[in-house]
Amino acid sequence: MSLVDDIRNDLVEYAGLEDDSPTDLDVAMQRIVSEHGAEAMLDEDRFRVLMGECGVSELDIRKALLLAKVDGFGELVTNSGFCAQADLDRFASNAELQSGLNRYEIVRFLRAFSLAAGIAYEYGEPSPPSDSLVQERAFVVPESLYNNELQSFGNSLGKAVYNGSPLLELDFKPIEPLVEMGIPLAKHYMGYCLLHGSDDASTQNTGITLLSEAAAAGNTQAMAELGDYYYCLGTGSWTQAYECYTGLGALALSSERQTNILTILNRKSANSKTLILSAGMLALMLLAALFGFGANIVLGILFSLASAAVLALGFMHFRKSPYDDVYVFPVAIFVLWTISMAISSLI
Amino acid sequence: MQLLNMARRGVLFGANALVVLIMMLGHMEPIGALRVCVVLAAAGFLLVYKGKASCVMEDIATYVCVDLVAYVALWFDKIIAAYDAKAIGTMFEKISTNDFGILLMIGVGLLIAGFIWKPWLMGVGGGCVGSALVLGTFATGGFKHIEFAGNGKIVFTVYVFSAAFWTLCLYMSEMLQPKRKTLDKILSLIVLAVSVFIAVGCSAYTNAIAPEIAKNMYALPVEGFAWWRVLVCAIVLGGMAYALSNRRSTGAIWWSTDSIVLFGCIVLVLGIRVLMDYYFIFSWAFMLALVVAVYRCIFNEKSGKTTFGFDTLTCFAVELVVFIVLSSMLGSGLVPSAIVTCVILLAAYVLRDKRGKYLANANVWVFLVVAFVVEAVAWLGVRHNLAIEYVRMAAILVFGIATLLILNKHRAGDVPAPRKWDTVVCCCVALLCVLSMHTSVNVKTTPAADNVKTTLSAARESNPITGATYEWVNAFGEVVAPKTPLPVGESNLPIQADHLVVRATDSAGATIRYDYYYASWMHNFAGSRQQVADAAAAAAASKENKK
Repeated sequence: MSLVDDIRNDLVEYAGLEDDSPTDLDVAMQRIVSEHGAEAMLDEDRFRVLMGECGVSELDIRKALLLAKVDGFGELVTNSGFCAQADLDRFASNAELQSGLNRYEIVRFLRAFSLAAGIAYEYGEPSPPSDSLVQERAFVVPESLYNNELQSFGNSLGKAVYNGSPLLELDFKPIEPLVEMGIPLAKHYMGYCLLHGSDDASTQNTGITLLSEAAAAGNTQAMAELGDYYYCLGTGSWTQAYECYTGLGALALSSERQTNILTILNRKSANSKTLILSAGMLALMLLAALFGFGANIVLGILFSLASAAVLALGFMHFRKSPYDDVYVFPVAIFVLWTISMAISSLI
Repeated sequence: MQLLNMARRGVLFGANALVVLIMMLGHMEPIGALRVCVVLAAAGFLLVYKGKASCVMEDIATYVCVDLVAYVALWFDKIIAAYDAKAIGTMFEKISTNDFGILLMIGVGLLIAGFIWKPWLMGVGGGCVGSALVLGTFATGGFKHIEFAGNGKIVFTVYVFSAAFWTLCLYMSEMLQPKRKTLDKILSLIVLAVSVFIAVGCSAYTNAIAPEIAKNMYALPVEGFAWWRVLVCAIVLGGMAYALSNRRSTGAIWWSTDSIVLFGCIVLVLGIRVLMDYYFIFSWAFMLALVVAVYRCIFNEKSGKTTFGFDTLTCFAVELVVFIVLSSMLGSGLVPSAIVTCVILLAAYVLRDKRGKYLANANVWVFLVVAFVVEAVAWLGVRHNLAIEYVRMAAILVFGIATLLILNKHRAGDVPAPRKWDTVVCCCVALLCVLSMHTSVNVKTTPAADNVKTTLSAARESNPITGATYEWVNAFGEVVAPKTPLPVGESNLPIQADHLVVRATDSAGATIRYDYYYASWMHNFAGSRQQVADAAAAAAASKENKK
């Protein structure tokens, strides 16, 4: 029995799955190759039309076309099924570098291409490391092995969220091994439940870690969830929220998240106004000091200079993190003015 | 339930009996003590064993009556020995020749009205009748030119206070149990008869004990109503309130009406104590307002209503705090501050957010800043009236509000600025206001019976006093004595009226004002009437000269 079969059997046994049916993507690719030949995948326009006819989603079509432009794709699919493991690994590494897709996605498509092109891939002896880029192995784990479990858990999670029932009471057993295996969607589900289902900080932190891992592996929903998390933390972490929303999370933007992005963008404008108004207030304070309105003139000028330094820091911070909280700067200016007035009244 | 109610009645009776016995220990006479014990035993039998009150505080008027009877029982021999039938005849002769008779007629009218309608009116009527009779015994000259003989002033003062206290007890009793009108009417007649008999019929006795009463009254703030005694009293009353509360099976406490009444008593006792420290001319009206407020809360509690949306205990706490703050301001002559405080409290009540988001609104922070600054300005207007101080306060107000608006007006979406920053700004404003509330002149006064020792000094050597005056003003706002220069250092000023006003000016040009109030029933206002007449004559002469 080959290692692939070992893994497959282990997974079936481990996750309690028995269905090993091919995914829709696998079927579509097999149909294209069987009806039009592997060369059809090399013609971008034809490949697009054929995938569309086979019912592949628009997002997957774009990803497949992106992968079709990766170096070595033509050799991979036109090699009449004779392809070394090293070639498979090399293509996966190239795809990571050139397409920007995450490894999970690459492997999912690679599996579909390989099955369609009849590539006899083996996972026997590891290929000798020629350089650091090809040291990672391109494990092609059929999605069908865990798809049902994930779908089932996803449905349960959706119902629980809709009904407002406790998320931590869901049955996590089916997805725990998938989380350990690093399946991004499983990590997303688990992370979501831990973050939203518990008040315990350490549990929530574990949830955040899982969501971060899922997002790093290319799960768009996890990235958007992280954006929500940072958004709800308050203005102090809106820069991170913005990065999440406008990065990979952009593919999972709901109307609420779009509103959040708009709010974050407005925040930049508001921050700018806050700093400009603070500058105006500082100018007035300086004038008041110069005219000797209560405060000692020398003290007033000294503290105005200190306030100016604070304000300069504020502008620098704003340039670096335009969506962050800048409330501290007008308050700091007012506190400095208060100190100058207090010292003046005590002298 | 019956036994439970008896136990509750026992708590009040026990506390009252304990107080009576403690008072009796200082004046132990074997026969008198025996009579007191008999009276207490009879009262215990009737009020506790045979009593039917489920709300024990409704018997409060009865307890006061029992205490009076116990007092008479203790000193029965001396009181009877001092009885003088001729004095009564003389008294009625006096009343018929001056305007005290009008008070007597009004009192009789109120007594009749109370007998027909509301028993508490009998308290007021009895007070008027008794006062007229006491004045007829101990005073001459009518209301306009009243002159007290001997210790008449003390007897009259004690009688008026006692009548007020009795009226409050009657009102409380009637409020808690409207069906016991007949008993209260009978008790009122007994109390009136006994008190008038002692005060008027046995004037020799009252004259004999008056000096000791006067001595005790002068020493009230440091002895009878010393803070530690008041606090012990409050703790005891609180303990009784706890004992009279109802406990549910879950262990939770549900305060009964009795407990609420006792908490109200704590508020009143603390209020009286505070007024002793911060006496001013209209203290009596202020105390009356507190009594009305407390009674209103008790009435609402009994009717199952809230007062201004607060539960009764919260309302008591608010009333006490407001009373203390306003008393301290009025007693220190800071009338503008008291008015500003009232306006701020009223505005806060009107503007309050009923949805519980009181502090989520930026306007609330602005309101707080304005309140701090306005309070400081009101204080400065009296204690350090200088233009530059107002400019400083304006700067604090402008920059404080500007910072709050910068924090709250430019925000993205519905996300408000963190409250901590608003809090920091408000704290800074409060700090600056407190630091601004300083004065350059210190005045210290130590009153005695006839005069007041005044010490005037500059707060800083760099800002000396350039001039100071004082003047005496009576309760009606009339200047008794014209402005007189007050030297820096110690001075001994004879107390001439209710109100002493000290004004000073420092080298920076700030004007400073201090006000001190003296109770007419505690001090002798030497020559005040003559001086008012002289001042009026001098003013008239001055006008004539100008013409």
